[in-house]
Amino acid sequence: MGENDLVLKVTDVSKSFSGVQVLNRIQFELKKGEVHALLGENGAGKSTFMKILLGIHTADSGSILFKGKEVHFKEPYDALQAGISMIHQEISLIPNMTVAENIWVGREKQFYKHGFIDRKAQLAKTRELLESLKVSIDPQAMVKNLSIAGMQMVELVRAVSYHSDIIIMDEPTSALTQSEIEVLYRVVKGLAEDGISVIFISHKLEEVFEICDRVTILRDGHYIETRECAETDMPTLIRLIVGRELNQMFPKEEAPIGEEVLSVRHLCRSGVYEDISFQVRQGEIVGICGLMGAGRTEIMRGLFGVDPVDSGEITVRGNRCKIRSPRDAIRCGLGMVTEDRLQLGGIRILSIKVNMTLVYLKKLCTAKLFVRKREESSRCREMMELMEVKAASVNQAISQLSGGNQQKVIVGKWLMNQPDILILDEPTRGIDIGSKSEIHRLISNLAKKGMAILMVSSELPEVLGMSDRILVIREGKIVAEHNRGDVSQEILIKEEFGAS
Amino acid sequence: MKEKNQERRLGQFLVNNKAIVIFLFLAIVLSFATDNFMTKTNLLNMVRQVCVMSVMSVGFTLILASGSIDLSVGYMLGLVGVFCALISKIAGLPVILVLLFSILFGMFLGFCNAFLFLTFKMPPFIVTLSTAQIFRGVTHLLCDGTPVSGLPDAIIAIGQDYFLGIPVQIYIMVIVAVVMAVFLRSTYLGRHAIAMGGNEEAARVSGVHVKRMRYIVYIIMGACVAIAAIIMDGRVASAQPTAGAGMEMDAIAAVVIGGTPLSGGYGNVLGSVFGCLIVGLINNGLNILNVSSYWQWIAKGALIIIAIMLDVQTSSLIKATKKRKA
Repeated sequence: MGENDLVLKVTDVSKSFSGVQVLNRIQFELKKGEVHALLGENGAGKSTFMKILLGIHTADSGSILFKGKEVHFKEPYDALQAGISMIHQEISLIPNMTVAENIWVGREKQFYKHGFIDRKAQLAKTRELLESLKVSIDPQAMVKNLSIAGMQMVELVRAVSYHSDIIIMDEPTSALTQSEIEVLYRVVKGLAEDGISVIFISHKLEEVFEICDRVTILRDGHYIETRECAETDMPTLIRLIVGRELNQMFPKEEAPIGEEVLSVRHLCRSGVYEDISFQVRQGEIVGICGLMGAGRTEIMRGLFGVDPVDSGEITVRGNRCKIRSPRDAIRCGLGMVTEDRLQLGGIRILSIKVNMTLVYLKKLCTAKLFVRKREESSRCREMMELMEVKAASVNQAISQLSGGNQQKVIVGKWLMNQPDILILDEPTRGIDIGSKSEIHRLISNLAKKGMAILMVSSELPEVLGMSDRILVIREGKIVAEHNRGDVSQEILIKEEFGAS
Repeated sequence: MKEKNQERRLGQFLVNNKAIVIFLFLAIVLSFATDNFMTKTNLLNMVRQVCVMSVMSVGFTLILASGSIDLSVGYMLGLVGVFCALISKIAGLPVILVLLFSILFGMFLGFCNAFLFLTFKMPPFIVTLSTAQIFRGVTHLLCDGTPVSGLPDAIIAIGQDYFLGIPVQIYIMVIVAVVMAVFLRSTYLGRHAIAMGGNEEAARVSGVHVKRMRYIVYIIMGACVAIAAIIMDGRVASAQPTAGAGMEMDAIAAVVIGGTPLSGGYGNVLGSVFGCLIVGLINNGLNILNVSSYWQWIAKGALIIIAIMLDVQTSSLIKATKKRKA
């Protein structure tokens, strides 16, 4: 293989966010006309890497050679113009426009005739493009009337219409049926034959063997290996994806496990998750793992009343609870540290104090109305000390804190209310190692004091290290349950991916 | 160290209360530029002129802080004003009941606004824009488009009398402002309203009863409008169906100048009152200087732009200096 065959050559690209190294000297090569899979666990650095390619983020160091020339894109539009386009998991089309209009949106100028858009010419060109790709979609159809697969196909066609050399596809098959997947495979193979290179991000290993030529594996922000698909097999890939030894960072301390506190039976929300049943006992940490999009967060949101559930029964300490809103959940003794710190966790523009006492506030009121301010401040300071929050004062806005400190404030908010059951959704995502182990120690201490804990995490070592019991979620169902020490990372990965 | 702290606190106070600084600056300029600005009569006159608007703006501060908007308050004022005059004239109710029912009516109108946008999940902007026109129509239907006179003396006294040399309405305005300031700063309901304005979803997950809170906010707004309407009735000794027209814009202007952001999450009642005073000052000053009211409108518009500009500039300045330090 000569250097000329390479469309893209990435050397030593590194990136850190506020002190956390997310990419460490990434290597990547893409040949002309190849379909190249990019594999790795959640948080391995795949999406950050792609965002750097597209110019959404800037690399701290390293070089990107695109068609032999070093490039530094400032925004995705530059990358698109140069010939790199990405098809995201979320559809980014305009629903109330036709297929043809969507494909050429922003580039109508080329169809101008006497200052107006020549719709016939636009339509003809769209037809031509669709036929060349053997895609059977009516160019005059409204995008909102298409299936997800159809919309994805339109995005693909649009990418081709930009004369892209590289098309990046992020889990394109996750929302498709088997026959739609076949069509997508055919189109992707056709693109490759035409000399377009495809970067294929996927969680499904079978599909990698089906359509990819080569595969590159990332793990914890490091480049691991690139292999020819024909020369490797599934167990090898799994071993490469997992790789690391279970490190000793987060051992849970032994805690006496008491009676059952929370029992969930047949929780169901159609199309999202079904028949979810499990129990959590006093002092127990139940870890919940699964791939992104498997329904872990949705189940927790349903349990906590953030989203409605269709059916199911929730019992806390033997009493049936009707949970229709987070207020009900809080009344039943639940607390929830949400996955999305910015959207749901904290109120960024408000102070540590306001955030920390929000749940507990009513119990700090005289005459059920007036906040006892001195007590509020002192309780807040106590909690800050307990949580080791580093901040100038209780009146500092949480937007000025680091991710780790923000998370501690949010955990503190729930602890102040002393829940019986604490749900932690990705409690350590995106925070530095130091804060991470502090949060682990805290969780462990809470269990020791008798709190029942449900912990969702994408990091398997965290799940394995912290949990007394582990539930694996795949496609909205609990597919496996393991006791502490009975399971290895390889088995969990296999169950998450659904590989036999 | 202590001095530095105090200095910083004063600086922070002035940044948060730019309206006070602007007010003092304009007042000093006017007192030099004209002879009759700095007289007790003129100053009291000026404050009296903005009392109605201040009471409304105090309610509006809560609306904006909770991350919402109400464009119906202007015409709501006219409607409550006419309602108040009619129930005392036609039904001949005792004054205390007239006042009570008027305030309850204002609260009811606020409730209607909230009910409409909460039940049908429409944006408050659209709903209150529409109810404003409905209120306007109902007002004119009720009084056949003509002013209603014959108000009881007690209500006229609210708008025209003095107590210890200061107009009665100023006391009312101060009381309303203080109650609102306490509500926002020291009650859990006020805290919930601000949390909701900062991030509605996060507040809901933390157990804030978002729907109920929205009702409370709009009902309080209605009560403030009703109090403003009663003062207005008293001041002109009759209920004008067109009394509040356009006042919602003045209220938004005053509250924003006062430092409460349109995006919610923070409310500054003191700032809103000073925002009203600035608007009053400009009208008053330009009147004394014999500038036509056409120019006064232009000045008001320019003022809003300057206030928002200052807000954007200072917050980006603060951010920049913080970054440099870090």
